[in-house]
Amino acid sequence: MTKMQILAKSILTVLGIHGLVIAYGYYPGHYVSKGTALPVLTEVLSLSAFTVLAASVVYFLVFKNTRLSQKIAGPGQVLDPADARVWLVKSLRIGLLFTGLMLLVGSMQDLVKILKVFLLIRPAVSDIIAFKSIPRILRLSYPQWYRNIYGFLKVLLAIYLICGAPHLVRWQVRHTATADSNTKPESIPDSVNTTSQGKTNE
Amino acid sequence: MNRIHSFAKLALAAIGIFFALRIAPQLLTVFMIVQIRPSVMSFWVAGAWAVALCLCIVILLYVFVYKREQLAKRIAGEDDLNKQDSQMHWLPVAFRLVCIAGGLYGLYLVLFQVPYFIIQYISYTHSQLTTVYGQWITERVLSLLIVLAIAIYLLCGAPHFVRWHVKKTLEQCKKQSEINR
Repeated sequence: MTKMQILAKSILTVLGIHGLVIAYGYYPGHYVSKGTALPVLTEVLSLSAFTVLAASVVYFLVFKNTRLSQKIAGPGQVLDPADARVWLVKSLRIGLLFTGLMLLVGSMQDLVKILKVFLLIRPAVSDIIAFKSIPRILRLSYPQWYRNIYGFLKVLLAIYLICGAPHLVRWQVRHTATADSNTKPESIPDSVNTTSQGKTNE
Repeated sequence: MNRIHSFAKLALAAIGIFFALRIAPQLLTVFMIVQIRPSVMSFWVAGAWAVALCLCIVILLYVFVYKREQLAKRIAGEDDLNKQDSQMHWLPVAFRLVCIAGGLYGLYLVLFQVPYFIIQYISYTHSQLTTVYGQWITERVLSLLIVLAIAIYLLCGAPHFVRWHVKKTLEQCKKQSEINR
């Protein structure tokens, strides 16, 4: 892979993850009020359709982005496999850290809510055991549940990305190496290579 | 001046101008504050808010555009300006720039929320604020204070965080190079 292809690959991965989070944030179910909520089946079906659509976009941006990155970056000087791995690790980690920071800063209210749940969980469990009734903090409408679960997952993802997303980076590097060995890399013709090297030497 | 230094300068100017442009439309909220409850107090609050916003924009542009040379030197390291660019050198610079962008985003979110609180404060009575909205506002204020603290740390370059990240990244790179062999 070339340096530009690696950069394009990292940017596509970051965009895929960020796009997924933003898309679920704007999912219409989240804005529906309790009184006007759709029937459960319709809601489940629309959420499933939305998930399939989002998953397919993420699949091509995060998991199967090698061909797309090659198309975006075009041909260039192919790097040595060891160098390519190092470049990919570095660019991915920088990009994922940036996304993680953006997500964490934007979801601080959800983090405070999670902390609040930790404080209120004990009295809530006592209420359930003693009075056999669902406490007020758990009596939420569907949009509220959606919002809270979304916020919780967003915070978890942000923390994982801030930690450098080691598994994702490792997987991407391994996957890229396998894809690279399976497909013939696009490289610039020898004549262009020699010209550019000649110019650099001058 | 080496490539890292030039890159840091360019990135800083871009970050500064981007966030100044994002903060500038907030000046329109000044009129909203006055419109919601026209009184002497809201007029003063709106005036103070307008001055604070203008100051923020001026400081941002001054530091990130006019004085970006000094800031870039601090980020890239003054002693290393004449040395060759190395991967060991550009990695912390990139992490620091990312942290600064994250910090500015946090600051922007805080500035985005402040007029909302001002409007809430001047629209509701004292009893409403302490009962119905009290808990909700406390949560919001607490989250904003945490964001502000994180934003300040990130704007300072987040030295510990960057050091930890560089260490972890280099470790991972080393592992990947070993796998390749």
